[in-house]
Amino acid sequence: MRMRTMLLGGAVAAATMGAFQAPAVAADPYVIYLSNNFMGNDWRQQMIRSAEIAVKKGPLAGRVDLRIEQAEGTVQAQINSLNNIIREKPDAILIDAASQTALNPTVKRACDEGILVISFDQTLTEPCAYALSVDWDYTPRVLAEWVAEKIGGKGNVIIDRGLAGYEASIATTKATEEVLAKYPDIKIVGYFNGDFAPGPEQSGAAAVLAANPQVDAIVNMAYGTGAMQALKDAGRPMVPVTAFSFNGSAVACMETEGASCILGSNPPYLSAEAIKMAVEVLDTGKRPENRAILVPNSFFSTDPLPSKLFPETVIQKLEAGKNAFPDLSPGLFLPVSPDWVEITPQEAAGQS
Amino acid sequence: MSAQTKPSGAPARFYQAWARSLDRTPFLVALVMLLAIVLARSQLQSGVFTLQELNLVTASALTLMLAATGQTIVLIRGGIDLSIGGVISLGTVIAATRFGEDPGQVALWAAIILATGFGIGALNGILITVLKLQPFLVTLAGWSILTGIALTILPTDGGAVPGWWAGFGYSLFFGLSGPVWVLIALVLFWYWFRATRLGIVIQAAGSSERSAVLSGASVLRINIATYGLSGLFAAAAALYLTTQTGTGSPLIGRDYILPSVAAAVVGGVSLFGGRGHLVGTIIGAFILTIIGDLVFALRVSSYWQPVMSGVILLIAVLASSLAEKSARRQNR
Repeated sequence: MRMRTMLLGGAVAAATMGAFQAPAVAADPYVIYLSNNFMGNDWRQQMIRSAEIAVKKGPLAGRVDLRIEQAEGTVQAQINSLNNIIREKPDAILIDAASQTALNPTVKRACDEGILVISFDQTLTEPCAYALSVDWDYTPRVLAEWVAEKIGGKGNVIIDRGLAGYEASIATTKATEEVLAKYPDIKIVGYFNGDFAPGPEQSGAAAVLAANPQVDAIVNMAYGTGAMQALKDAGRPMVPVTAFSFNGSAVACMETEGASCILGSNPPYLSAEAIKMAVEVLDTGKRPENRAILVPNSFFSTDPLPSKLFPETVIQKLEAGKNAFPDLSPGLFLPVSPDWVEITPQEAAGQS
Repeated sequence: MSAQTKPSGAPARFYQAWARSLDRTPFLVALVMLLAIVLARSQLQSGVFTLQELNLVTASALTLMLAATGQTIVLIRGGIDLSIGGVISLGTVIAATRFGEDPGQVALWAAIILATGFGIGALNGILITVLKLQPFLVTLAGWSILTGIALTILPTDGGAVPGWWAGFGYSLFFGLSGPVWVLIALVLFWYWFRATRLGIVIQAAGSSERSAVLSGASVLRINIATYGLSGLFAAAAALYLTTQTGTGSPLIGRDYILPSVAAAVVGGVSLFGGRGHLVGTIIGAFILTIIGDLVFALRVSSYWQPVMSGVILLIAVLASSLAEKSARRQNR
C-alpha cells in the first residue's frame, strides 16, 4: 500500500513538472530509465557501469535518478519492459535497442506521452527518438585505409563479417570493401563470421587462412586476438590486423612479436553521453534539430599512420598504463572515460 | 511420500482429491499461480484490475500465445515443433517486404503467409511420418533452413508494414483491444476444435498411436493436420508480431520456440502427449509475460525474471507429474 502511494506521488510530481516545463535546474533529480536488451558481453557491462558512475560524480552528481532495466535479450521482452517504463512517465528513456526498427511503434508511444527518448549504441530508426553513436561509416574506413597503406597498397586481405543479421556488421563490411576497392592491387580473398567472439573469430580466420596460402592482412570486427592466434597456430608470420579497442587486443598488439595493429572504438560510455544529453535537453527544454548525434571516435595503433581520407583523424600510439592496461581485464573497452567526467580504468573494469 | 506408499487417512484423501481435480482441470496450478502473481502485482501497482491493463498485457503476450497454440496441438499429439521459430521469422520478413499501403495487397500477402505456414508445417508432418524421423530433428532442421531463407530475403531487421496495420495491437473495439478479441477467438476455436473428430484423433494418437491407428485413423493425415496447424498458428503469430514491431526481423522467431513449449508446460500440457488444454497454455503465456511486469513493479534487478520463470516452470512440472501419476494409478 505504502509503495503504491509513493508511486502515485511520483507520477503526480512528474506530471506537474511536465505541465510547467520547469526551466533551468529542477530541484528533483530527473527520472531517467536506461533500457538495455543484453548483458552477455563485456561491452554492455562496462556500458552499464559507466552510466552508474557518471551520475555519481562530476556535473551529473545528484541530478539523475537513474533506473536500469534489463530486458532479457529478446525484442518482445524489451517491448514489454518499455511498456512498463512508459506507464511510469519518466522524464527520459535511454535505449540500447534489441533491433533498430522493431521497437519503433513502442518508442513512438513513449514520444507521444512527451517522454524524451534517446537511443544509443544500437540505435533506432524511429524519427522521434535521438540516435547517439559513433560514426560507424567513418571508423571502418579509417581502419581499412590504415591496413591498405600498411601493406603498401598491395596484397591479399581477409575480412571478418561479424554477426549475420546485424546491421552494424553489414554497414562495416560495406565501408571496408569500398575503401579497399580504391587499391587495385589489393584483393579480398576470403570472408568469415567472427560473431563478435574470440572462438568463432579464431576458427573462422583459421579456415580462411588454410584455404589461402598468402594472406597479407586481416580485418576483424571484434577482438583481433583470435585472428592473431590463428596466424600463430598456422605457423604464419604476423600480418597487419585491424580490430576494436578491447584492452586485451591492445595489450596483445603491444606484446606479440611482429604484431602491427590498429584499433577502432565504440566507447561503452555512450550511455553516460546519452544521460548527459538527456539532462541538457531537459534543463534547457531545447531539442537538437538533428536526430543523429555523433560521439567522437578514438583510434589506437602500434604504428599510427596519417589518414589521407580523413586528415583530422587522430590515431593514438598504444602505450601501456596510458591508454592500455596490462594489469586490467582484457575485456575492458578503450577509451574508458569521456573528458567531462572521470571514469577511472579500474571503475570501468568494475575493479574499484 | 504418498506416491510410493499406499496412502491412508485424511492427508491421503486430500491428496487424492487434489490429484483428481488436477486431472480434470490440468491448468489448475497455472491458474492459482497466475492469480497469485496478479494479486502480488496489484499490491505494488495501481490499475492492475482495469480493462486498459488487460488490453496492454494481452498485446504483450499474444505473439507467444499464438505460437504456443500451435505448439500445444503438437505437444498433445506427442511431438514438438521447433520450426515455428523459422516460420515466425520468415512470416515477418515477407510481411515487411511485401505489404504495401493497399489493404487488398496486405490481405493477399497475409493469406499467402498463413498458407505458407500451413504448407511448411504439413511438410514437417509428411517428413516425420513417411521417413519415420524424430519430430525434434525434422523441425530443428526446418528452423535452420527457414531462418536462412528469411536472412536471404532480409539480411537484417528492416522493411515496414503500413501504419494502420501496426496500430492493431492498441486499437479498441467495444472497449477491448484487437489482441483481446483474438484471444477470445482462440479460446472459442479451442472449445470447438477439441470436440471435432480431428481434435479427438490428435489427442488419442498422442496417448497411444497404436490404438489410434487400430481405430482407423491415418497417421499421415493426423501429422499433416497437427504440424500444419502449428505452422498456421506460427504464421499468425508472425503477422501479429509485425503489428507490434512494425518491421521484419529474420532472427526473431527463435525467441518464441522454447517459451512456446514453456507456456504450454506451465499450463499443464504434457510433454509426453495426450494431455493438455489451450486455456492452460494461454494462462501459461500470461504468467511468463506478467512475471516481467511483476519484477519491474518490485524494483528488483530484472535478472530475477528468468529465475522466477524457471521456478514457476518447475512448480508446474511437479504438479503435472503428480497429476500424471494419479491418472496412471486410476487407469491401472
